[in-house]
Amino acid sequence: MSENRDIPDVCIIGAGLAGGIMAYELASIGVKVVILEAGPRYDPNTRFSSMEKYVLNGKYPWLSDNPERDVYTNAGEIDYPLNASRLKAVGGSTLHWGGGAIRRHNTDFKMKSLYSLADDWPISYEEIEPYYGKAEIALGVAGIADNPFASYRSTDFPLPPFPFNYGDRVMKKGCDKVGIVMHHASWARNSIPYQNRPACQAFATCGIHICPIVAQYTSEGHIRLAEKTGNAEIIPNANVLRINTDKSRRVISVTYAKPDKTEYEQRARVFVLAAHAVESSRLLLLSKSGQFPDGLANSSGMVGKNFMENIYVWVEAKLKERVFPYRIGFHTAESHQFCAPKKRDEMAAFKIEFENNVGPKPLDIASDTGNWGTALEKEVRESFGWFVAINAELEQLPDEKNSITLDPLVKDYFGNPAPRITYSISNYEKEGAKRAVDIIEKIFDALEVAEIIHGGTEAKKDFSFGWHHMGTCRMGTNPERSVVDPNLRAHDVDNLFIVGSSVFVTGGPVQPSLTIAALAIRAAEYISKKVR
Amino acid sequence: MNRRRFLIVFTGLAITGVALLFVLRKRLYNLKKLIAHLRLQLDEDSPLGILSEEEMKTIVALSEVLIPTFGKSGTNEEFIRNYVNFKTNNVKGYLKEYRNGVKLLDETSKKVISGDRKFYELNLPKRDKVLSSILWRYRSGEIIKCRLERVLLPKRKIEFRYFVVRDILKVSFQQTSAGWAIVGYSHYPGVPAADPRDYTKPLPLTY
Repeated sequence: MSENRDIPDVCIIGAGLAGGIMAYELASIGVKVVILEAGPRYDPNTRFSSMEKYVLNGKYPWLSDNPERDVYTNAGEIDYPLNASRLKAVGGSTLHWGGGAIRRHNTDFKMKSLYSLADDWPISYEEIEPYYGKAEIALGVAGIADNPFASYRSTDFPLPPFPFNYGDRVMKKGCDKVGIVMHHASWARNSIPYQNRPACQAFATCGIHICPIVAQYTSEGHIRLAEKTGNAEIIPNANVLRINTDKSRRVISVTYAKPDKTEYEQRARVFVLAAHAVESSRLLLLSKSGQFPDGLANSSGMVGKNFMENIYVWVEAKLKERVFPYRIGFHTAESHQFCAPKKRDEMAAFKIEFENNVGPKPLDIASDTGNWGTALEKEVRESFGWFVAINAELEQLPDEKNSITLDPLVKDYFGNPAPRITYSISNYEKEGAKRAVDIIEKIFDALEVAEIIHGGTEAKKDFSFGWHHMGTCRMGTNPERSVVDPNLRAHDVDNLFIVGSSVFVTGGPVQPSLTIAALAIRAAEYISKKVR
Repeated sequence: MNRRRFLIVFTGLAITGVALLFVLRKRLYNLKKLIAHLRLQLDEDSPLGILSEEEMKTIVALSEVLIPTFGKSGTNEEFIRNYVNFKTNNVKGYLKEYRNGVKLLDETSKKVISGDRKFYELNLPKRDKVLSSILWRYRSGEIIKCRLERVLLPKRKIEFRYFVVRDILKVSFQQTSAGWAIVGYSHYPGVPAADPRDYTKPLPLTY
């Protein structure tokens, strides 16, 4: 059945970062937009109480509202914990992200030309640069241009930076001794009031993924602005099951289902798939037909392939002086010195983050100790506040074996095949991890730390993830090797666009969010010309 | 192997097995006992309810010994009363554990401190002495001492440690400023800073 509404110009599938920005960019110039979001719409006014429940009772605020809908399987070397980070809701991952908003390096776009690795992006840094500026304004990015390794920028940051925390000043002494340049981190988080959201008040709960006052950007703001134009309608709890095409190989509608499994059809003139790397590729594979036997927009066979992540390694140390941690929820200093290293053809590039919120909190000590009273007080005072960590965020090369496919046996809540993840880490990333740990340990040696808590061989193999899902609908100029063209239009389907990090050609060693936003703004510009 | 040989080997193994079981029966029984001793479980068949006023006084008195910032932070008598009443009235097994804890404290008080006084009637140093005679002290990370205490102390003392002492410590440090007050923090995760740039400066150490 269809829900009774006029046929909009654009239907956007997914109300996360890319979908939210697209909705606003299009609706604000008069384009009629419907946004279908699989998850619910949470009230931002409950954010404070959700934060309190987590801090006081350990109740994580972002559990899936429908685990059966979000089922997945693994088939690779590594069991990738997809639902550790994925969130289906209006706002998507921006509800619980870290807030990192960083431009990629210009070399990230030219891995093939410069390093004979992977492929070049079909667009250059110079082409995307103006959109990075617009994205920084859209998200409200706080920062300062003190990064000597950054690529050219034509505009200033819209918000002033967050100053270095006290721990950074201590770690800088070690960096200076070994020639590592420390500079400010940039965040989609208000250092001053902006976009009707308050400035950060140092609740220090960003690390547990909730800002109680929404000082950190979420795409809910763009969705609300889009609705206010009168040109956008958001439909939450609308799980798209398949994308339907006609004989002319154009998308005519999508079929979606509500939680009671009642199905509806949504028509539009143009469709934008913004469901993040796993779901976007899965939906294309689910939408196969006689005309698209391998999945919609998949004549190249590349849909679902080249799933990439950012891999993290870290070294933790106990210093000889206190650093007073846990007073701000995010790191304030980074170094991009190794984001375009000389040996990038041999090992992964990485970004360094200086982490201050490390070491046992008083609660951690009290939960584990056999002491009480004065002895407990002494133990807490002796144990707390001495620890720091330095993280490295590594890029991952695309590998067609790392992929999203449809599980032949496991079905989700709606009866569709679950996404199956095949994932591994190559020697390129592992060598990068080893180098990163070696460099970090040099900083700590220079600081003459009291003790390395987590380092050496253990740290070189102890990988964690950034929860940045990229690459499954890559862009390119060659329809045989890519899914979308440089304007993010599917090669095979004239009125289908794909936005988000699924279109990334290579991963890069920084968070993907600002690039997602920049590409979404750019794509909205292109689409608006098509529909008007 | 032919059938005869198989029967001989099988019979030999069976006899050896039975003999070993006979010889080790006491140790196996002790192993079973050890496993039961180590398994900490709330009695979910026990009733819900709240402590009597006398019993609650003992728990408050215990909290005063456990929490170094009791009364100087968010952990105070009202907090403990509200929390313990909620816990014993909503989570099966805790009323029994808290009551057993009160009993243990009062019995030990009479053994360790002269005079027929209940735990809550003792002053702080004497309460600390009573507690020290029930439980071992060890720092976080001293795993061997922790495990030895778990194995060697009677079960009722271990249950007291895990279901009462740890419960009070954890909730106080999680839900109030009890732990942060020890290190002189007036703002910490969940509580905003009066000055959002406070994090850039060291804190004056008052200890």
